[in-house]
Amino acid sequence: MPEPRLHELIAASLDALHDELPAFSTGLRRELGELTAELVCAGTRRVATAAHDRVHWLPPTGPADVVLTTDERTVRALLLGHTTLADAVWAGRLDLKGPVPELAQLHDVLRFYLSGMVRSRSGPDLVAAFQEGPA
Amino acid sequence: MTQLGTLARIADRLRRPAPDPNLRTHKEWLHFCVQHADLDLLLNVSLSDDPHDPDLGEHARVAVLLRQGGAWRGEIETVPPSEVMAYPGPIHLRLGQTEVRFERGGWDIDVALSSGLLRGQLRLEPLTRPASVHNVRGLDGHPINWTVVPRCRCDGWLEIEGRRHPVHDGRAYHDHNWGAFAWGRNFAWEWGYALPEASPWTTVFARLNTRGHTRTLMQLLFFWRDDQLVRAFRDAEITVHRHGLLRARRVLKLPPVMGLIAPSLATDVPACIEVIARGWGDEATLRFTSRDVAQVILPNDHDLGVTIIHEVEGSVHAEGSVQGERFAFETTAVFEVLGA
Repeated sequence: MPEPRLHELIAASLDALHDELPAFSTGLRRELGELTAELVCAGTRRVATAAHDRVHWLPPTGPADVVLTTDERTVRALLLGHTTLADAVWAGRLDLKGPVPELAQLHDVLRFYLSGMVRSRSGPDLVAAFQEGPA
Repeated sequence: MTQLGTLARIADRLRRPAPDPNLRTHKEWLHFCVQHADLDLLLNVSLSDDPHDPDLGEHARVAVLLRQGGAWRGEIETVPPSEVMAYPGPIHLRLGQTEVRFERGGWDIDVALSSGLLRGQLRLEPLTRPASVHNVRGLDGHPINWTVVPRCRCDGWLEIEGRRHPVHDGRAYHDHNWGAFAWGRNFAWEWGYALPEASPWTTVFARLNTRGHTRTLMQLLFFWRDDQLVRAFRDAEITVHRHGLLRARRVLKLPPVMGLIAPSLATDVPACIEVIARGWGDEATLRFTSRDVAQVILPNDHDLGVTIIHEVEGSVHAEGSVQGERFAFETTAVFEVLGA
């Protein structure tokens, strides 16, 4: 089964942050700390893992602190502004599991990640390439 | 070329200073607004230094906001450096498929977004003399500059998602801003214009405040009668009141991905902005009543926050007396309010 494009997008954007905005990449690693955050998309699991000076996007090796389950259609709708994070959760299109403090930390990590992504040179092109898939 | 065309050509030139590796906050943009029938178009072509990546040089963007049938649509297209042509001097710049040229006393605009949302060809011819305000000093020490040609005639056509709209004798506004400043610093602006139909009067309001709107750095209210700038109220002659807050049920956010970082529907856009100006026997009151808002959301240059440019659709009522002549008019307008 091919890697879902969402995982490709996230892996490429983490590489772009590391290469283009190293201070953001280091900051994201600091925000993530010891938290393990798993994303399940189309049945494929990947985990954000802090190692050395950056965050990597890797297959899981054990249970994660928080698990986010969604699909590419929902992520595209979020990136296009057709839905909000809260509405996606309420509609059951985005499932979050984990203790509240860790979910709150994940929110801060996601916000930091997006803040870097929108400032990176490659960010707009990566998002555009991802959005070319089915809406 | 007409006299107005000659004056506009002299006043409206691309600045494009040499890159300053220690500053990296130069920004320059051309802003065009067109009002025709039930259509409002805002077109902004901009070049701005990248504060993080010296190798990148600058960002080039074409921002389009359309309001039709009571709803906003829009898009911000990022143009790679290889598709940018912009030199200092007379206005001629190309960002991707969008080109602006000053020729034969007017602006020729070809716009084409790669998404297909908008294509068009417009020609704007000035109907008023330009006005310039130079060296407005912000709080971080570097000046910003502004040239405005507030009323133009606009002809051409627009194609919105494949549907063609002829534009004949439309009303248009143009301004040009340049200077060195960083998004997120201690400033915010309020700005707007009114181009009433079948009236010789045109007005522009602008105010630069601290980010929290606790102190005013500069304010102006200009009136043109026909092509002449007949009154420039400035600073101490002007009192501004912000009444209430606009509460929108939905807000278009551009680019959409920024809506994930700034999802709130709450804004600090006033429900009404009232500008009262008096001096030297002249007086004017301008009331802008907000109806609907769209947001252009920009990442701050030096912190993780965002700066939100609110494009606010509403109505203007203005009345007063300038040089002994009384006036009163109402029209729809789009004001811009910067918020955190």
